[in-house]
Amino acid sequence: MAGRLLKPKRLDLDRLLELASLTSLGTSLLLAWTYALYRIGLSCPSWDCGHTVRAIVLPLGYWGVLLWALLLFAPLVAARELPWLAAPALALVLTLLFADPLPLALLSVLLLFPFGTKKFLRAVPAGVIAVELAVLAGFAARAYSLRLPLPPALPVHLALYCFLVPATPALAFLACLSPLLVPLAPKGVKLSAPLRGRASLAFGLFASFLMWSIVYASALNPGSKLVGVDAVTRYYPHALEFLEGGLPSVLKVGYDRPLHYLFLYGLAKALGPYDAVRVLALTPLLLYTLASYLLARELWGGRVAGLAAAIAPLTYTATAGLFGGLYGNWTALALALLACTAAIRWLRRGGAARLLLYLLLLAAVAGVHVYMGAVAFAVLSLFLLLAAARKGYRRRALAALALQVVVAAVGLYAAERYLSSLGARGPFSVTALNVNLWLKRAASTRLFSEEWWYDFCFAVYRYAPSTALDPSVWLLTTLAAAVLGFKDLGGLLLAPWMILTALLTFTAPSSLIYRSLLDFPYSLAEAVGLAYLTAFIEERLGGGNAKLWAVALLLFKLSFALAFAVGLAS
Amino acid sequence: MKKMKPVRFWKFAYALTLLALFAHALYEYPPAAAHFADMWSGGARLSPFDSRLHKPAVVYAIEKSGSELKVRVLRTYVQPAIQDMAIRLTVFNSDGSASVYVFKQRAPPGYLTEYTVHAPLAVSLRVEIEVNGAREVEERWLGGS
Repeated sequence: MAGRLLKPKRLDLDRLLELASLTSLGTSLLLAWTYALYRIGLSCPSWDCGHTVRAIVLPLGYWGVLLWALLLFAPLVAARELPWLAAPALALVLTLLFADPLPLALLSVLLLFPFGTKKFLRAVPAGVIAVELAVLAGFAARAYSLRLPLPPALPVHLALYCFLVPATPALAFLACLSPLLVPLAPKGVKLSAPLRGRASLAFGLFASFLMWSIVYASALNPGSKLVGVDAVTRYYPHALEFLEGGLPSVLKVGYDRPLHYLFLYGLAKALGPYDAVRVLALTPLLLYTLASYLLARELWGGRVAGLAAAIAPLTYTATAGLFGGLYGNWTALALALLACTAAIRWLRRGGAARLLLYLLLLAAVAGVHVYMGAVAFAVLSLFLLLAAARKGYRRRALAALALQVVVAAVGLYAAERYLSSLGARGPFSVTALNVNLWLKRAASTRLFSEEWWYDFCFAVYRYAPSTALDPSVWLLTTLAAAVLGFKDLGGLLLAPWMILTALLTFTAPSSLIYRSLLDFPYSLAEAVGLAYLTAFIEERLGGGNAKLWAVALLLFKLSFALAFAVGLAS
Repeated sequence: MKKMKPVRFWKFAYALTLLALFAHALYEYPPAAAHFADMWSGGARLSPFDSRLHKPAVVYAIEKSGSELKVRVLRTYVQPAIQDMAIRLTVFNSDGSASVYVFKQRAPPGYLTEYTVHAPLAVSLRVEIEVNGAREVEERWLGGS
């Protein structure tokens, strides 16, 4: 009996020791990596109270190198690697002798020999988790004015992605062209999410609220000043105008986003214009997270859906959305995901209520943001056309397509008549104006020329200041679009969506490139990419490793997004 | 001799075509991206044992090229909060005169910034950095007459 009771405890202790050993090995590897980048002299752009270039430095000092040596010593003791036990001490002495941590960095890599590749592949995510937790604690200390004795882990976090910063525009470009990779992708793709769906959804909702609270309810922004370009230049002055001019002014000013402005008008009446704009920022954060979950659950099941929800507030959509204050586009994108969910439910199960809900949601997308409505209409039309080519969906897909064309035609005609009678611009004139602008730009664009690349780089580095620098967005999206292909309904939806986004992005005026990139639901693609990656890791290294990698990546994304929110609010 | 399956051949041909397309598309990328190189090339380094890294801010590098004097200042990672930083550059010239330049800004941790001043006769430089009340002074001899 006593043995039975003791056994699990022993096991837990063993697992704890193993985890500690992995963490210490992983952290020393990350220190070695940071040291390598520091030797190259790399720096990392970020947004912190403006454009900030951060140096990658390791402020180690004597205590720092001693700690590094101990980090190397601990896994050797735990693994009883007796011949290697003297190595950390020797590396420490050499480090002190040459006043350079190169010996410790070299030893971190050389431990590959006693431990093997598999252990290294487990140690890296464990180290990333430890570093990111320290970074997150640092942001919490900064955001909520806490005094915590924390190690300066931020340079190690920056080192995780700054080496890819020079290539980020190319990675974004590759993601745009990812549907072209479909024929080369492996067959029989398996998706596996190692984390529970509900837990990830809770994490996503918490992260959504955290992002908003860092910006509007933390010590960084004591006066709760408005944050985000459109929040200051568009929504607040318009909210004031609505309160003066009443309902007619809502349609006159908000001709390109009438429903969103009606919502703002309601909020402004209830809370006042200032708080209305702040709440307006929270709406898309929560709605996009929830919508990503619902659509991903319908397409790939609860676990992938959980990943989508966890990623939604941490992806490019959220960081660029908060920076630009693009709440209209973002809310419309979230509604478009809900419309897709209804459309897929209709295709799979039928039911007039689902079809009606789909049409209503699609109309709502256009009402919230006309441009996003046009994008969603085009994407869903392509999706339904592709679905119609599949046997089981033909009849329902064609019915939905025909109805949505009729609804769009009638809706546009009615809106044009009504808005014109109010003296506001109707959707036809708005569309014609935008299409003309776009066509002019497209005609003058020399695709892939140096000028074109300069504009693209400028959009990635400057217009969307550092929001686009998280490489996992582009890498996971590329992976997802390539492996999904046109096989299931998810692939039929995401591939045309990416093609359309690419067309718009490549031909957009330079100031609109980063906004065009926002047209795509990265949360879904990243979740699929991560689920594919974890399935791959699970197959080769086991389920525990897959979980470690997934948690490490989510924490990295959380740190990246919170760093941006902290910088935005400062 | 084994024959290549038709599917494999088309896949190979497609991969080659795609590679050519990417190569063509990315050909002009490096010169365009080079315009933004100041974002990722920090350049000079301090020793990880440099005790100044435990102070609020340090002079990262001083460079004199022609008539321009460039001073790079690093706001270290010691304090996690954003802080007010004031830089006072006193340039001592070979003709006995001195010029003073003052810069003020908000500086987050890790912030690497460069100040460029026109100083054709500079022979030495005093950099005074004040971060939230803490003051550091560094003096450098620049050589010359």
